[in-house]
Amino acid sequence: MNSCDAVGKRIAELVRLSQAEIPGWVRDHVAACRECRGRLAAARLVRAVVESGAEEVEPPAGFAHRVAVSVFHQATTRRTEAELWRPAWGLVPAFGAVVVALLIMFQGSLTPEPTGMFLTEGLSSGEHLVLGSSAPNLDMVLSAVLEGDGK
Amino acid sequence: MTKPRAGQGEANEPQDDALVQRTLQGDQQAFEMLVRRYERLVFRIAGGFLRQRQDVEDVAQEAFLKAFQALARFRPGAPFAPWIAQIATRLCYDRLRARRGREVDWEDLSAAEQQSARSMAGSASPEVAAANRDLADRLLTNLSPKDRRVLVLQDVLGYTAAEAAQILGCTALAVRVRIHRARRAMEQAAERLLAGMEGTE
Repeated sequence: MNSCDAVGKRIAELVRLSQAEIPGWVRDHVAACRECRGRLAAARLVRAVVESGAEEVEPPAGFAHRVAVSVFHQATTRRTEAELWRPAWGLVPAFGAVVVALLIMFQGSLTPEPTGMFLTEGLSSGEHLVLGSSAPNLDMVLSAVLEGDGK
Repeated sequence: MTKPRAGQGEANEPQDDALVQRTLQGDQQAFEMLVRRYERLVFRIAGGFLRQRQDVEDVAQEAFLKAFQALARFRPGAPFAPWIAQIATRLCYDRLRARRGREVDWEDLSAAEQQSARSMAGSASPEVAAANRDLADRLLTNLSPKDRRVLVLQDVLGYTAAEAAQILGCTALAVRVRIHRARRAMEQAAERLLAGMEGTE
């Protein structure tokens, strides 16, 4: 096992030691090896970061009372609102029936009646020409074909 | 690193079950007693995840509100502490998901944070300061919220893999796999950050 591997295996133990407690061979290796120096520094930083997260955050004075009051107030308000709306919920089916009836009544008037008129507004000039011309006369087509020797 | 503990109270104090029942019957004081019994646990959990005091307090308050709303579903005889810990952890996780940060570089740090990083990386017992917490927050935001959740529960709050698994609703093996990944990710983030420090010196 080379020195880098040996340091790597002991890294969890090394981060707990002060500079003076670190064995001499590790100190010498770390001083010379940029990679191990980086790993050890990173491991120390991570440990310190994790430990700084363990800092105690005390609840403020009166927190429990404040929370209990707020929670019970919200619960009471919600209950009151629910009680206020309870009779209204009973009317929901009746309201739904009225809406459906109105929809059925007005459905006929909402659909446009056919006018029998063909609106030519918005058509292109080509479309005007095609729609404005009369249908070809079949006799004229046949005689033209026969006179032209079928051409 | 001490594990947050909260108990059933002293011998002459009512048990959790009794307080839950009284709360369900509308006894505000019983709920207040329950909150007082577990507020330190909830603050400690939220404080492990979130660094702003106001965030910690908001989460703690929300956790007790959620507990109150779900109290009717609380199984009688079950321990209250893991249950409230689970609620608090889930709320913290939701917050972390909403504000996942980007990778942090040396240049992103304030002068105080750079000083903090130097001392943390060089000394075995760095002094705790506000800059340390800010720096810790920056580094921790590199982790995915799921990895951070496991890392905080185990390495910051001192829960065992089995206890963390109970709070997270997964297996202990899954916790062990994730904690390994989270630690490695943290080390890589720290290595990258310190490479930036060496570049400036």
